[in-house]
Amino acid sequence: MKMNYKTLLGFSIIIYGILSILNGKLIHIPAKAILGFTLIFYGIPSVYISFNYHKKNMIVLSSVSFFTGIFLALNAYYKVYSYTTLVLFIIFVCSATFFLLFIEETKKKYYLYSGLFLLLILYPAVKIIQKIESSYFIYHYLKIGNIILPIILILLGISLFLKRND
Amino acid sequence: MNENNIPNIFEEPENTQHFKKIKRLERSKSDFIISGLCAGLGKYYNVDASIIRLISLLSLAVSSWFIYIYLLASFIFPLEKEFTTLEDIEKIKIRRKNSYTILSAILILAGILWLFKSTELIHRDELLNQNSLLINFMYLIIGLYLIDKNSAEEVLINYEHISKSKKLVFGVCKNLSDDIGIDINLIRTFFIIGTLITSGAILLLYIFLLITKHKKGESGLTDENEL
Repeated sequence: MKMNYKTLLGFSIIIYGILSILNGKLIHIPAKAILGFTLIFYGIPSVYISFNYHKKNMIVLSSVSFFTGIFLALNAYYKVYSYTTLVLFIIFVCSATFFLLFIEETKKKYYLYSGLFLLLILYPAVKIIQKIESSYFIYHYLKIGNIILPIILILLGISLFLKRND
Repeated sequence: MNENNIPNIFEEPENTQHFKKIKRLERSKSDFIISGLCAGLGKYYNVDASIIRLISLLSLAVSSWFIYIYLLASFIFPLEKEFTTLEDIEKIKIRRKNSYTILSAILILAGILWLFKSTELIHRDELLNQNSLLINFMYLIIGLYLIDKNSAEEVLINYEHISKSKKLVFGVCKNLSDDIGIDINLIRTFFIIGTLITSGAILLLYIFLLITKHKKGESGLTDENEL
């Protein structure tokens, strides 16, 4: 059997199903961690396949899936979720993705420079956000964002659906 | 009937044509994501299958019962017997259309659930209900089905057909889209949402990419010897 994205997705869904069935009976894993482990399981081989087939879009998807899995698993066990860790996670994932893209195509140096740039701004960005995280402003900012961001997602989904035939 | 008004028993009556063309609800063999049920329904009711798929996936926001109905219907309705073999280009087009439909449904669904949660209008936990044994078994069935279906032929979606959009502001998203092969709308949304969430850190990346682009002239980021 040749391993490709759909096969991998099939295996990942099976693992998710098995872990969910066993959860609470033989094993005790938080639901978030199960989802995290599944994403990690999907992410690692998927990157490998993407490198084989030189598919950059799948490299991006795989790395995001892998790091989201790690984030969810860590969050489930250590409760590290905060606004700062979310920002740290987004910047770090972008940086790692650019590095992976650079590995895929070493001729394009701007992947490497973008990854390095993101790593450089990671520390000051987190420091600044740590300072303003507890402020009154950020509380309201997040509250408004919780309504605006899903609307943006819905609009994006509709626009993608409308251009499906293009 | 012949000229002498003697009925010809070998001649096929006209009205049998009507019975031959009776539509049957069958699962599609050429246009499918899981079992081809939505495409079959689309063909039967003469509606675009993508709309049925979108509605079906969005119905998950209301109830997860759709999954059971879908599985049951997939077992009940047979696969179509008469179908035309599609060319590779057609197959790629269908796959691209289907992937767009799924992606848009996921985004809309995520947006609706997020909105429900943030506005606290409805508490919607059914989708990730861990206690439902039936749903967990359903995951196993779908997983096995995907592996089984895919082992027969290698499926590699060709994303080269993603439309090349025009630049909107500085063309950074366009160049990234052309370079990586991800839809430009997704990249734009990432920059907008990322900037909002990270309080401007992702905007710095945008500016960095813009500067590096203009530093090397008009060729843009897609050139091989860039930077």
